[in-house]
Amino acid sequence: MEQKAYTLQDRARGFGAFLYGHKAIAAIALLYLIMLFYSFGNTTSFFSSYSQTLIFQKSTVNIIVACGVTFAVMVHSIDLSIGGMLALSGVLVIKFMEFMPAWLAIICTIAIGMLVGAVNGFFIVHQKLEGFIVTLGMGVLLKGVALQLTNAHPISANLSFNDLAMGNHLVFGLAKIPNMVIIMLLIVLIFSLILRYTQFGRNIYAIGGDYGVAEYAGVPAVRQKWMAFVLSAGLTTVAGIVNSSYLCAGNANYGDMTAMIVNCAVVVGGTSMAGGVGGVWQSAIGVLFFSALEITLQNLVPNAYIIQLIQGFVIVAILFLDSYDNKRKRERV
Amino acid sequence: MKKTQKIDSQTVIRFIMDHMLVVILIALAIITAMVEPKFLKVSNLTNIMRQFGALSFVALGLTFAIICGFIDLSIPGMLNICAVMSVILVNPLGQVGALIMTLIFGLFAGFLNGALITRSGGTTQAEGLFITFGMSQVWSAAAMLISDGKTQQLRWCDKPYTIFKFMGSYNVFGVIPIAMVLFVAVMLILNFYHKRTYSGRCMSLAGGNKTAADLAGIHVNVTIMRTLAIGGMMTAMGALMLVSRVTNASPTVGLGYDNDAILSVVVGGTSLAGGKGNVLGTMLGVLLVTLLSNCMNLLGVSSHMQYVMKGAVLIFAIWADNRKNLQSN
Repeated sequence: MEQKAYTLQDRARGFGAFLYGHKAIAAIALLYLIMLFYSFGNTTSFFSSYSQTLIFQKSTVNIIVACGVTFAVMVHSIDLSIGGMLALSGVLVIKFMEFMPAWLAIICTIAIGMLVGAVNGFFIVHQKLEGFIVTLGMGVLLKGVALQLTNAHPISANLSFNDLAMGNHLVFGLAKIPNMVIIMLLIVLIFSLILRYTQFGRNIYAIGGDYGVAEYAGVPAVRQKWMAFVLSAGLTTVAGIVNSSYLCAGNANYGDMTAMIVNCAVVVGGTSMAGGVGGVWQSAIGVLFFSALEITLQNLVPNAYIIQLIQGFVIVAILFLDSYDNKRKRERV
Repeated sequence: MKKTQKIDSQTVIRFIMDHMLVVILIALAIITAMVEPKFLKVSNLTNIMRQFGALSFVALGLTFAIICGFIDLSIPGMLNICAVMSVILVNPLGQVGALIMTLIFGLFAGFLNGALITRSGGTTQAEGLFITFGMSQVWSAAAMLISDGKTQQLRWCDKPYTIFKFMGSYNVFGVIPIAMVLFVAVMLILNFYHKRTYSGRCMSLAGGNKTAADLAGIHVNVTIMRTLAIGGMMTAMGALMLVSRVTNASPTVGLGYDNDAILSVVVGGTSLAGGKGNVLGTMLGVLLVTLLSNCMNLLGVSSHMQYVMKGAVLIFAIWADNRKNLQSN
C-alpha cells in the first residue's frame, strides 16, 4: 500500500519535472485548455481553421528570426540588430526588384544580411566587444539606412511578389497552407538538424558552454562563433523577405519591437542566456507561445492596452521563474 | 632636442586618446560653428541647454544602474507612465502633490525592478535586461490605460501648474535654463553620493564583482535595489522635465529614450561590465548626443541619417574604449 503511494508520488513528481522541462509546450496547452472552457459558454472563432492558421502565419516571421537568434544566444551573446535588419531587408528586396529579377534580388539581400552579420561578428568575436551594445548600435544604424532608403514612407511591391509567401505551390496546391509556413517549417527542420547533428552545431554548444575550454579543445572558436552571427543576420534577412512578400510592402518602421520580443521568446523557449543550452525548435515553440497568447487574449479581452499589460506581466513572470530556476540549479551544484 | 619632441607628441596623442570625448565635442562644435555661424547664437545655445532636460536625468539614472551591472530597459515605459501620471495627478492632488507622487512612483518602480531582479537571483546582465524589458511593456500599457491613449495637455488642468511652467521655461539671468541648473545640482549630488559615501562605493564594488562584494560583507541585494530605485527616481525626474518643456504628456513619449540614454552612458566611458564609470562622463556623453543632433540639424542632415550616425557613434565609442583598455593593460 505504502509502496504504491510512493510510486504515485514519484510519478507525479516525474510528470512535474517533465512539464517544467517542456514549459513552453505546457503553457501553449494551458492556453488551449482555457480557450476550450471559454468556448463552452461563449461563441468564439478560436478553434476555426482560420484562427489556427493565423497563429502560424503571425509567428512565421518571428520564428524564422528566432532560428537565427538561437545561434547568437547559444554562443553566450545576444543579437539586437535583428529589428533593424528585418526592416532593412524588407525594404532592400523591394528596391532591388525594381531593376533585377526576383531571385537575384533575394540572393543580393541575403548576401547583404550575411555581410552585416559578419560585421557584427567582427566586432563581437574578433575585437571582443560587448555583444549587447554592438548589435544595439547596429540595429539603430540599419533602421536609419532603411528610413533613408524609403524616406520613411511604406513602399509597395509588385503584387506577384505576394505569391512567394501566400501562394501554395510548395504543397502542390493540395492544402491551403501558405508557402511561408512551409518555408518556416523547412528552416526550423534544417537548422535544428544542423545544430543537433553536425560538427558545427555541436561546437556551438561547446563554445556557448565555455569559450576558453572550447578553444583549448581545438574547436575553431573564433570562426564558428563568427559564423553564428552571420547565420543570425542571414536568417533575419530571409524573415524580412518573407514578411515583405506577406504584406506586399516594405516599411522601415517594421520590426521596432521584434528584437526584444524574439530574444525574449528564445529565452522563454528554453535556450539559456548563459549559453550552451537550448535548441532551434524550442525557440520556435517559444515564439509560437507568444503569438498563441496574443490570439487567445484577443478572444478573451476586448481592450488592446490590457492585452499589452498582460503580455508584459507574462514576460516578467516567465523570466522571473526562469532565473529563479537558474539560481536553484546553481545552489544545488 | 628631438627626443623631448617625440615624448611631447606621444603625450599629446595619449592625452587625445584619454580625452577622446572632449576632443570630439570641441571638433564638432568648431566645424559646425565654421560652416553655420548660427550655431553660436545665444538662442541656439540656450536651446541646446534646454534639450538637455529629459535625456540627461534619464542617463544619470541609467549610469548608476550600469555601474551596478544591470542595463535598465524599463526606461521608455517608466517615462511614459511618469509623464502621463504627473499631468493627470495635477487636478486631484495639486501640482506639488503631483510632482512628489511622480517622484515616489519612480522610486517605487525602480525598487520593483531591483526587487524582481534580486529575488529571482538574477546575477547576470541578461536576466535583468529581459525583466526590465517586461516591466517596460507593463508600464507602457498602464500609461495607455490611464490616459486612454490620448495625449494629456497641461492646459486642460483646472488647478495652476506654475511649477511645471517654471521648470520648463524659466531662464536664470535670461540665458541659462532652469533645467540646466537643476541638472548640474542633481549631478553634483549624485557624484558626491557615488564617490564619497559608503553606499555609493558599495555600488561600484557590487557592480565590479558581486562575489567579492558579498565576501566583503556588503549587502549586494540591498545595494542593487537601492541603486535601481535611484535610477527609477531619476527617470521620473526626466519625465517631469520633459512634461515641463513640452507642456503635454503623450503615452508614447518615452520611445527611443533607452537607446539615447545607453548611447550617452557608454560614450561617457561607463563600462557595461559594471563597476567602472562616473556621472561626469555621462554628462559629456549627453552633451555629445545633444550637440550631435543639434549640429546635424543645423547642417541639414536628414533625421534618418542621424539614426545611422548614432549607431555608428555607439559602435565606435565602445570600440575606442576597448582599444584604450587593451593598451593600458
